[in-house]
Amino acid sequence: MNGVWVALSETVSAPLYRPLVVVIGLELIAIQMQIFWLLWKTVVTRARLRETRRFRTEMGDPLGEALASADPVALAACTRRARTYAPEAVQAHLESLMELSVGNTNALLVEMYGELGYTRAAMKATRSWRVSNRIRALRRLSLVARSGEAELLSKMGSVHEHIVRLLVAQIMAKAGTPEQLFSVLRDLERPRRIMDQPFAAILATASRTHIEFLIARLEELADPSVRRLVLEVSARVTPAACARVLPEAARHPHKELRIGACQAAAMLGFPSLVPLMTTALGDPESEVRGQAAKALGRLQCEESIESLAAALGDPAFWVRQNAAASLAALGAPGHLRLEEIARTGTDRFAADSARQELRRQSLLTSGIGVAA
Amino acid sequence: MSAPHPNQELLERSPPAPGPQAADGAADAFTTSAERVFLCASPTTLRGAVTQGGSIERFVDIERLAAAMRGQPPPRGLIIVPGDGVPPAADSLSALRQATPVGDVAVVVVTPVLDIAEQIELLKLGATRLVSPETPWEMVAALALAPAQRPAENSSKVVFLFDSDEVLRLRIRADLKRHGIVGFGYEDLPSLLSGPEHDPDLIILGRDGRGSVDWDLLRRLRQRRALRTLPVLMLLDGVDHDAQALAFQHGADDFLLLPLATEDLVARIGYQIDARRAARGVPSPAPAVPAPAVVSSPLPPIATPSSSARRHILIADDDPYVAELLKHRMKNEGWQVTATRDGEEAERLIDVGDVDVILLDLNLPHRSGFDILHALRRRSPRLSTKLVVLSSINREETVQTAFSLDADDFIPKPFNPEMVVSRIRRLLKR
Repeated sequence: MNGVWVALSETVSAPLYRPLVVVIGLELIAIQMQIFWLLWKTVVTRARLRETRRFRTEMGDPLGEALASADPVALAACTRRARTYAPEAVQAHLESLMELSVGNTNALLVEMYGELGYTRAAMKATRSWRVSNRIRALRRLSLVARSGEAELLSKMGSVHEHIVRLLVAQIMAKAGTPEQLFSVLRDLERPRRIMDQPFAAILATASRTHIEFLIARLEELADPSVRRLVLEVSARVTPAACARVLPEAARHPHKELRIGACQAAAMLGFPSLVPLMTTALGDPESEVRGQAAKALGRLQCEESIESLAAALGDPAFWVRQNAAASLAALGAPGHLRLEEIARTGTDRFAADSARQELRRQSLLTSGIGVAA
Repeated sequence: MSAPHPNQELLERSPPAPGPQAADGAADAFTTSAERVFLCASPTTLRGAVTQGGSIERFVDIERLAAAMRGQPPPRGLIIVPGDGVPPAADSLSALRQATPVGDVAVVVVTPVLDIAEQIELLKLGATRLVSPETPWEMVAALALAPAQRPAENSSKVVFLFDSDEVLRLRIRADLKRHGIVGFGYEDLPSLLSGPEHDPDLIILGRDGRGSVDWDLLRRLRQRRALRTLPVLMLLDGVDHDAQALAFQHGADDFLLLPLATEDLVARIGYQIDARRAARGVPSPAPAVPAPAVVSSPLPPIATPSSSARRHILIADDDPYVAELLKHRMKNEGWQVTATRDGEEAERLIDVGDVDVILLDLNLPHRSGFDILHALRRRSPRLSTKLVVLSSINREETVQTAFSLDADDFIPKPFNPEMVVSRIRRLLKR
């Protein structure tokens, strides 16, 4: 045994092996720490889940009854009892309920959340040096923030990471003033097209007043993509404000604005927008032409038949496809034109697009005799 | 109070070519078609067409046309050109309607530009398209050969819309028009209350000139005998939850939220009008969406709840917090509440029967909400239980699909629990 130990000591003390042994030792320590950390997290998570379940079992019904009756005494009693549970469990429970509810119930839950000190804690966490802490805090605040918190948070908009600013914008749309929302959105960029969805979701929660304010100061928003999204939402929320800026947007040098104008025109659906969309069919950008072709189908005016028929020969496939679908959407006259192009069109692209659309229509509807 | 002619754009574009020459064109238009079309017009109008032949059959009066309709297989379409022996459009359509059912045949009436009330009248009498005498015959032929986009009930839906935002009114009217619903927009209260003679099927109330909801207007509308039982939909800001809660308290039947989703708008309007017609004994049109393909094996008919029993509400949602938010409010109403988090379990509970209202989430384990809706739709007799979809997937197509599968309401998440209870209370009263 002694001999083995001596041999091992000699090997380790050899200059070649010493660093290797140190590395192996450190790795073993790191693996052990990771295992310990995972075990610790499991224990903590299980304990938290157990506590959350206990809170739900013991407090679910009293809290539900207090919310249903909106009785301040019962709610105060619930708040007192909630203090005796682990804050994480109570917080998780209240947040789940708040995510599902709006109106008076939501207001009572927000009040209770605030009385338990969670709103204050979340506000404090927004100043944390760790981004993950700030993000978590802002997500919580997006459920509970009111004008007071919005006022404080609006100052964060220009100094932090993109995701943080996006979360602040979300809070401003719900709880801030139109000016506060504008101040956050003014310099905010939409880095990729995939980020359209969160922006659209934020704008969808804003009121008419907010959107009207944004439309009035549309040119001051730095990112053209954000402007496009505002334009799209305004067509659904404040059509009058949207219609006012639409002609200018349709002529804007940036293509995002021109795309937005076409999408907004489709949403508005006024026949008077046909000339604007017909002009957009001649745009140098295929995305704009495609959206214009789509919009003409929604506007439902037979006077756009010839423009759409001409767009069937567009070099971009997407434009041809949209033009064919829009012709079909115009009813019998559009169908006639598609049939004519499919039969006698000299442009192979146009004839193919017409045939494809007619085939698609014949699959969708039975009993319409269409030339395939 | 006049609206543009349905083919206004066409009229402006088309060169005037009325009279016998037009009939020549008509014959040309039909010779290439294998479909039969019946044309009812004066002998003068028909002169050119008679010599041309083709698949068109001509009649100089409504009686002969009706006799042919009864004695032969129905044509693809009818064209009626009133004047010079053929009675005015409304009289012609009435006479035809009395003589024979028109069924699915497209009815194109060639008539000068009419005001909106007359247009509605003709659509109610069975016309599918109204075109001006200047319309080229090729176009008239195409319309007569196109599938009849009646359906009569849908095209006769008339909606009054009140909102101070003119562009919003125009936008909603355009949406409604696309779905065969006639909309009239009003800017202010006096013009709405002194509206035209024809009755609306529904009223949409939006904001007044100050940009706020005028609850007093709703009260005053309800005081008018003619409008008392009309469905009223409030047009509200999507973020104004207080106004949404007030809407039901003030007697509104439903509300539309801004930003507006077209399918939601049309579905809710259609539902309210159909429900009112059903209550008045007026037959409703066939469902807009055909019965779905077979989803599973046929299910047995289910027991229907008795009206005198304690109301039973089934909450089927995989999120336990939904039941937590709702069950106490429902119990306060005196309703019995059962909650389940599983689709199969929900279906089993429905099979057992005695459920008055099902609050159905779309994302359920084992069997989705749509699967359950499909299955319930295929039952015979049809389910008397009210179906309310409660979902966070509130995209336009989801709402449309839910309504087309006979859902009675669609409530998006997050929801106002008071509102859910109010909606269920209203459904139970029907």
